[in-house]
Amino acid sequence: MVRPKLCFVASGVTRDADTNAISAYNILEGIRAAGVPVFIQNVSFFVLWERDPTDNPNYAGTFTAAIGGQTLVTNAGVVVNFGDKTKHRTIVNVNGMVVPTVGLLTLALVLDNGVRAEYTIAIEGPQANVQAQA
Amino acid sequence: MIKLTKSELLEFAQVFILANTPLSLFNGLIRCAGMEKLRKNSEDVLLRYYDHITARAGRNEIVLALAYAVLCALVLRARQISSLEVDASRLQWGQRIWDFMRRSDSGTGGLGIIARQEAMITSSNSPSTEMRILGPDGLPASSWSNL
Repeated sequence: MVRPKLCFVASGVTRDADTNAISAYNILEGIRAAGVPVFIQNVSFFVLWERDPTDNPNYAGTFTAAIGGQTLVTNAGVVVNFGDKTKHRTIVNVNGMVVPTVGLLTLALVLDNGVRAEYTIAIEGPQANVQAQA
Repeated sequence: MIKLTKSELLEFAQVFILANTPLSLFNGLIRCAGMEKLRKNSEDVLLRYYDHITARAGRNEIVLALAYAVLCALVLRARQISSLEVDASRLQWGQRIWDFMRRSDSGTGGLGIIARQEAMITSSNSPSTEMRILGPDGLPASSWSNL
């Protein structure tokens, strides 16, 4: 059964062509926005897939980014092709995304067999100024 | 036979002498000028060359550096040809380079999305009162112009 072994979202995920190694920087754990809507300039969604040798090596997938029931980005053109290997990496780069509201931003990649890899980022609004009364 | 210049061989040897881990040796060798020349050869030629070099009795730093460089070229070739097998154990760090790099040979799929954001436009009627032009008598202009 194919399964997501690792899934995260970062400002950038790159693959070194010489070593085939993946590097990520600024993993997005949460965003505290000065106000909404908030613009996120670069979003890289990464999934490391793993399968058993007897599993199908080819899958199609759909990537979505949604918050509060509102779909921000969707793309059905993701291809997961393991070839003769048991591991595969998928990188989806979204060049600019406007998040219209606070809440849980969910980025997900769903394969055609229903297997889902998802990562959520809490989008928070500006912190209220609290003044202690003496 | 693969022909390399003296400067290319010396560059391999410098990397070999300075490397302190198998990974640093691999990373250094694949960035050498001579690596491009090695990678242009087929896997059969590289394998024959690897066998020839590693079978030699007299091993100095240049011969060893060249043997590691050919092994690295074979590792890079093995990413496309999964059935390629090399006896990397002939070199002290050979098996570790081979195992490490073969472990990281999974494929990668990429997709770039330029998010199209729909502009949200809302309109509403102005809450101001109906516009009127008043004449000098205080009556709406429309009423006195008809006089």
